[in-house]
Amino acid sequence: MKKFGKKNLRSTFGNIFCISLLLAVISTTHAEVVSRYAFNDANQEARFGHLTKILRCVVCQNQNLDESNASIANDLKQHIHDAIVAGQSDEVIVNNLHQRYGDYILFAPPMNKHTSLLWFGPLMILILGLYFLRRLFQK
Amino acid sequence: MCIKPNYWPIITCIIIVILLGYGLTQDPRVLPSALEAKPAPKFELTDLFSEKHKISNSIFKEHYTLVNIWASWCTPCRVEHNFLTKLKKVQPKLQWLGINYKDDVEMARTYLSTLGNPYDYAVADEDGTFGMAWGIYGTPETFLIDKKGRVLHRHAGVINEKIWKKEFAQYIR
Repeated sequence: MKKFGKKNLRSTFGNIFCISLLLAVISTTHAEVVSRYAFNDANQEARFGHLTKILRCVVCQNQNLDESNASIANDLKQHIHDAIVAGQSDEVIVNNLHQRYGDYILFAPPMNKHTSLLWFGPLMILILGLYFLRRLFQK
Repeated sequence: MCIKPNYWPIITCIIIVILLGYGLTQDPRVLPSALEAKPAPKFELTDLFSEKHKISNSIFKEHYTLVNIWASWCTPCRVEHNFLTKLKKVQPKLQWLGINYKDDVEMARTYLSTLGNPYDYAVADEDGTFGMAWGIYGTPETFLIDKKGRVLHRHAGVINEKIWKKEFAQYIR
């Protein structure tokens, strides 16, 4: 049976302190993000959350706007907030940013001749692979 | 030439590897501008040295214009500034518009007074609205605008002699 000595007591309190500190930081950070952008209703806030998740931070490669704290990401978030409060639809907001920043700002790129290889390439490779496997097993 | 069926998987793999290899040679940080070949977005900004004076797209008429986005807090901009000052002297026909991006106006004025001012027009974009309208990622960025106000080319990052010759010089002859 493990003795509940001074050393164990110190490490237990140490762990509790660290976890409490971590939770406090997380909750205050979330509070800061939520309070920075004020909306008229819950629907607007939900739309903001959705848009900032489907739009890419243009300087961060693989982060969306919601995750990024880059200066340009904060500017874009402010722009989206202002556009939502002004009554613009999600489609108009996304198209507006798409016109300025191109396909890169969209996590789901549109389907056109430039992105056809991206969309259909993996499927084509899979079909080819299955074809060759079939021929191999037939032999 | 008839290729034996047994070789098709290998040939297909080689083609895929070549395509992926080509992909690896591309720099993912280089992003094309969505504005190239399109009219420059409309703007009206305050002159950096005169609060009463406004500068707008009208300056693009009948001039090739270099629009350079910079800031006094931007270290790469300082690196680029020397080259821009020299370029100004050898490109007398080129019109220069400097956009001071999200900066303190006094610091911007001091920057130009100390390091030299290559811009025919210098304006302040204090809240970043201009930058967002032009789809910029940060500073420095440079656009070349033609005489009809269309964006010919955009370069994100420091411009030096090599980049000028490779990307911009072809448009100004």
